[in-house]
Amino acid sequence: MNLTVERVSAGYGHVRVLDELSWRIPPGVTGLLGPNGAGKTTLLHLLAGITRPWQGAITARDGSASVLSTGKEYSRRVGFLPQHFTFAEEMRVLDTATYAAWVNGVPKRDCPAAAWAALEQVDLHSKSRDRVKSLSGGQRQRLGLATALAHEPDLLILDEPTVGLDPAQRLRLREAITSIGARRTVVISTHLIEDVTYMCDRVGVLAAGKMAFDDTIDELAKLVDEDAGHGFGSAFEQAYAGIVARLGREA
Amino acid sequence: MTDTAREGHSVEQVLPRAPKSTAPRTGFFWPLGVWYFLAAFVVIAGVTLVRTSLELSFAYEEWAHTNGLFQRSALDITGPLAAAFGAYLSGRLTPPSRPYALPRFARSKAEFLAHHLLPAATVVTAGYVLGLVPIVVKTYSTATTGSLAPLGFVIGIVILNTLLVLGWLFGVVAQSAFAAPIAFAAGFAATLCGYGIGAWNSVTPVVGDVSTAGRVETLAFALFRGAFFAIVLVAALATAAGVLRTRGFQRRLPPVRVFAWWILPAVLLAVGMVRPPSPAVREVNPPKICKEAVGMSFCVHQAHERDLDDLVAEVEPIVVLVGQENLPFTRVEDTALHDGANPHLDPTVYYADVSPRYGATGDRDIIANLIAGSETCFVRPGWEQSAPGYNAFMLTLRLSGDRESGADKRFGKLSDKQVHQWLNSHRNQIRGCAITDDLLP
Repeated sequence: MNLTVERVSAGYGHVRVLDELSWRIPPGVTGLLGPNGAGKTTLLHLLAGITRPWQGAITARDGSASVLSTGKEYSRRVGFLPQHFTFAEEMRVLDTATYAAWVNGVPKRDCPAAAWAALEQVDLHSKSRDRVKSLSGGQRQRLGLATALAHEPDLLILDEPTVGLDPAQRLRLREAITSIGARRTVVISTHLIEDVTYMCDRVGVLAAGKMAFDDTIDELAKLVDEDAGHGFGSAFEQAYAGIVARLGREA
Repeated sequence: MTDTAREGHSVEQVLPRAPKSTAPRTGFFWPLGVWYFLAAFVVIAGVTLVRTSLELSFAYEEWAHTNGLFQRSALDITGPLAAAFGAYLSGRLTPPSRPYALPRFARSKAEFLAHHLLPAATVVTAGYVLGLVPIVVKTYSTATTGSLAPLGFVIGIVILNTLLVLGWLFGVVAQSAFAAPIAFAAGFAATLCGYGIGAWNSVTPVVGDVSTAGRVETLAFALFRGAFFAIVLVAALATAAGVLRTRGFQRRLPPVRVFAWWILPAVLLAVGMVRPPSPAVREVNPPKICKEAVGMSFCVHQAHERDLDDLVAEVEPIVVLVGQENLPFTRVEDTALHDGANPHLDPTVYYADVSPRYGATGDRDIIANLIAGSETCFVRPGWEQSAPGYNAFMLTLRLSGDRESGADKRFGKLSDKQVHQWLNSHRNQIRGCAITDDLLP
């Protein structure tokens, strides 16, 4: 499924955070980078259909069919995992995913199978009978991913899913997201350039309410300044910092 | 998402099945599981039973009182418990921090509310009804007149479920299961208002008035209460759905919409507090059972038929002792026949408070007071220091059957015949609280 953001403006109260932003998101995993306050979460809420844009439109296109983000059908086709979330600790893992499937519109009798499939996709099916309270941080994150996946959405929006995870947990989550991205459109917001380089086919860099960069990882790599490669960060991190700094100067 | 699933059809063909051993049962009490609901059921049933246990200890029960319990003690703790249960359920599952409770989830809000509230309503109602079974069975088997009031029973259930939904709404708004104890406290405070401020009884969860035989709840009062709580229930449901529908980033439930949902409950609340319908009226031509004994008639409400013989047995000894010429009344009648709230209608009638709780006890002492003139004496300041006051008190004890009290046992030494003669010769002094020491036997 392709997602098209056309001249979207949005913000809080009278503060404009996104200013006539346009972005095309193809199937696969697309990363969204940007400094704090750039509007990443605002953009993700718009993509998830939680909020409406002040102006412009977000359209999901699948073949000849298209759905606006403000329509009811859109919410059935999108899965969203916020940065911060909690569970009912006493519930079992499988019940949690099953309930998420039901809440998101899967017919009740199909929910167990849908939940099981989601748990398999995030490699958590072996914990299906465990209580949520027994899960580690990484397992909780994967359960969150499963709840966003349980209704088999075409579009998956993930807001900084790897934050707070240790390297091993981050690795497993990356594997899960990469695997999921092979079959659907995934947008992942992150501060970690490594996440982008390992998981994403494309990357967008948001700065000052505009999409400062929108291309493949390879194109981002070309922006790496060979002469600047002696700092503390990786080449990609420096490229990202350069893009943000350049846009800041232009602004 | 597959095309099949997107069209709302089965996704079983395209998704792997969960192994049967691990498959969750998406049954009536899913997703929190049956144990929460079972616990609520047991607690509600148990508390309802405990709150009617006093009546279960009575020798018999009357329908008027049992029907009143449906909106009184049977509901005063169970109602707040239902509110707490509702707040706990929504506090566990609906906070927006849950990844499955995000704004704009695809399931319709009506379906969502029904899925969560129907099981909860079922268990609290079933627990309440089960807890009432013993008292209803006892009343059915021991009451001599009347029948179960279906309207009052249904209104009790409506109120119970209204409190459940209000609690659920509170949990949605509070976004935490910690709302449960607050919901209980708020429900209990409303209950206390019912007991404490009788004028508000048409809009409080419990009715403070004790229902007894001889008084009948008015249809207007019952309908008003039923309508008020049903409308509050609907408003709470609409508000909960509205909060869930509009909750989210940069969204707020429009105050005008909330106002529209709650305007009618607010109007009825104001009416119920300012000009409430009369809760009960005296029963017209109450059925009565009478018996002739010791030359006078004894009548009780048919609901108190089982206490008629006890009433006669209670009053008969003092009538025999003092003789009818010394009695200030010629008949004994149950206050339930004359509206217990205003029993002093006819001075020639002794109105006995007969009830399933106390039976027909204590009347001999009361009559002894009447005959000994104690009521005249006891209103005088310092009566206990005066000889007439003390002597009237001693006479009262003797007439009550006590021969041992008092320093010199003047009246205790007298035979029944001597007491009778002494009363006949000092009738005026007794009535005027003028039994000086020189008049003592």
